Amino acid sequence: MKTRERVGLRQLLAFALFYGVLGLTAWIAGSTAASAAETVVFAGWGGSIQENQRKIFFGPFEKATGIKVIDVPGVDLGKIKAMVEAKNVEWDVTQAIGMWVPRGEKEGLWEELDYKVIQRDGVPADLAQKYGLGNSTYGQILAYNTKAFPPGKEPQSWADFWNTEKFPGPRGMFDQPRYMLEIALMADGVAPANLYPLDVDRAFRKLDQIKPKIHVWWKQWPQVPTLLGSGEIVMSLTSNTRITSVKKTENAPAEICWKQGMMTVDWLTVPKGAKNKTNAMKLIDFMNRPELQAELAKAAGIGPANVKALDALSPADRENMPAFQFQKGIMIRFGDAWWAENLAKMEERWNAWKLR
Amino acid sequence: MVRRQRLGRRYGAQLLVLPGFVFLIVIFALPILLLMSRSLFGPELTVAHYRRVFEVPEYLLVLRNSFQISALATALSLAAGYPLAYVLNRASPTWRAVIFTLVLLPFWTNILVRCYAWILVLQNRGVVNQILVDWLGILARPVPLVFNFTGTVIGMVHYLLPPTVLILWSVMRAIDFRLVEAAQGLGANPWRAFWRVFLPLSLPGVRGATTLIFILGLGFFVTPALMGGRREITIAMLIDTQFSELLNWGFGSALAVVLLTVTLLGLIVYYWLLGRAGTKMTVV
Repeated sequence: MKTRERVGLRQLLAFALFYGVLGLTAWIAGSTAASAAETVVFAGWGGSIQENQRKIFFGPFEKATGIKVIDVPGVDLGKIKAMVEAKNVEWDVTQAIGMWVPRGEKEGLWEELDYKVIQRDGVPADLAQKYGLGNSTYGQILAYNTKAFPPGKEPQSWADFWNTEKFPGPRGMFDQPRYMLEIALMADGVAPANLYPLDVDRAFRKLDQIKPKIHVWWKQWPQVPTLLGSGEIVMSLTSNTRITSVKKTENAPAEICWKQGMMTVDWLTVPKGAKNKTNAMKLIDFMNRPELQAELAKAAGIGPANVKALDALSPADRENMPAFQFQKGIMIRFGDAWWAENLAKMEERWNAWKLR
Repeated sequence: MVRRQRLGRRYGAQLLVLPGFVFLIVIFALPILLLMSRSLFGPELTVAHYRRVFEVPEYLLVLRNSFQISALATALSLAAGYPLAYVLNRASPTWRAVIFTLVLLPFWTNILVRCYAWILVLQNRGVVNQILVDWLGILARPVPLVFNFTGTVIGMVHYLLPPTVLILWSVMRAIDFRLVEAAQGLGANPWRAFWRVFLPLSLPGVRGATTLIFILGLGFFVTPALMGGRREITIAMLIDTQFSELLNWGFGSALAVVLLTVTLLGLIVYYWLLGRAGTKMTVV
């Protein structure tokens, strides 16, 4: 007992002082960071998409306005909700998939966009909404390996995806109900224009047929180009930008079938309580410039939302743009509203169906 | 002077623990309480979330899957990690450094990178299958090594092996090896000396490692998502979806609380069984 260490008041004070100084330093560091020069924080998907965004949008924006853009990856609706609830919103402009806009609106996660600052001309009316502005377009399309299916023998519809006799080989499937219910219905003969509201029972009945032929249930978009290029799978849904880029960078034997594709829109939104709201509006306005969107289209195959940008593209580039294919009537708009309503139910049913 | 000493003796040590204690409360206890309240209040008191967990059969099925996958991955990690830790313990400092580096290298690699690398090795057109089918011609068609249960377990064992080895090694290091040498000096062959002396002394470490690794394994959602197939859905994957995709934090919390409770119950049973086995062993 006697050997037990004794702690005097002095040591205690020293400890208190240590933690006090630690806390104070953190507080000062936090407040100086906040009071630094004008900034705006952009949260996006990261990767090559964001590298291109930095080059084409953020760099020139900094030069033009003097406002520094801090761009971070890993945007996620769950994180946005957590920030808004904690009243500590670190992001000012967030890239959002279509469903997030109505779902976030329901949860009160968005600031209203200020169309006095944002020039909306060139953007179709349904893409310039109260809580979000369409910024880029993607095609969710059927992609295939050209070694397995050379010209003349290529699949041309989702019915061909289901036809494993005429088009043999392992398939990949997005491990989410969205897009998958649509392609099942199209394969079953539903006209693209009549898809919504989805006939869910019919879709799952059709999915039963293809279930044993699925080799990879993929979760992440970068998985598909690799799997397709190596021939591990011969067909899958994916986004057109992935195929365009893998063809360009690696000369991969992959091709796009635009027919029966679904156009999705990525939006720009401002989380409720964003710290640099005014700068956020300026950045959104800048990212809506048609000449810059055209540049992004050329660099990354990411379609513009501002249709004026299409005019700045060569006819060959235009063919690779979802917005152009949509204008031609080759593709349909993906039903964000239906999915925003039904996502939770569908996820549950999808998992149950997979486990069976 | 006397007063100060008394104050120090009474509260000093306890007060020093205070920052750590506060830290643990803030980092662990509070979030768990928040989780529990989220699962029950939405905002009125409701058991609807829990009812759904038990009424929709898939959730319990997924829970069972997760336990099976984690149990198998834990068993394999221990089977591979124990000899490795033993060798590490007996190796010369140079070799120890080499083995340590090899064990820890994957530990510092991002889990996504690891999964993608494993897929390249294991897929139908991957390295292993190409060697077996195209080069050696042993097999007529590739063996499915990934995008299924096998792939999930391989990926998880690869992730869990370094912590297993580290825990076991730290325990083995504390064992006085002279006891083993004494057993041999008294006529036991090396195998018997290991079996009767070293192994029993290392069992507490094995017990601790099993618990920690199993719990780590229960939390996996990246590896089963990327390396698993249609049926490899884990409870952690569902919790992740509920939180980040569906924004259904109430139901996600209920799933998390169920996972926590079942895990705790499982651990209690495990320690109870070990305790009984331990008593029996000493009696014999």
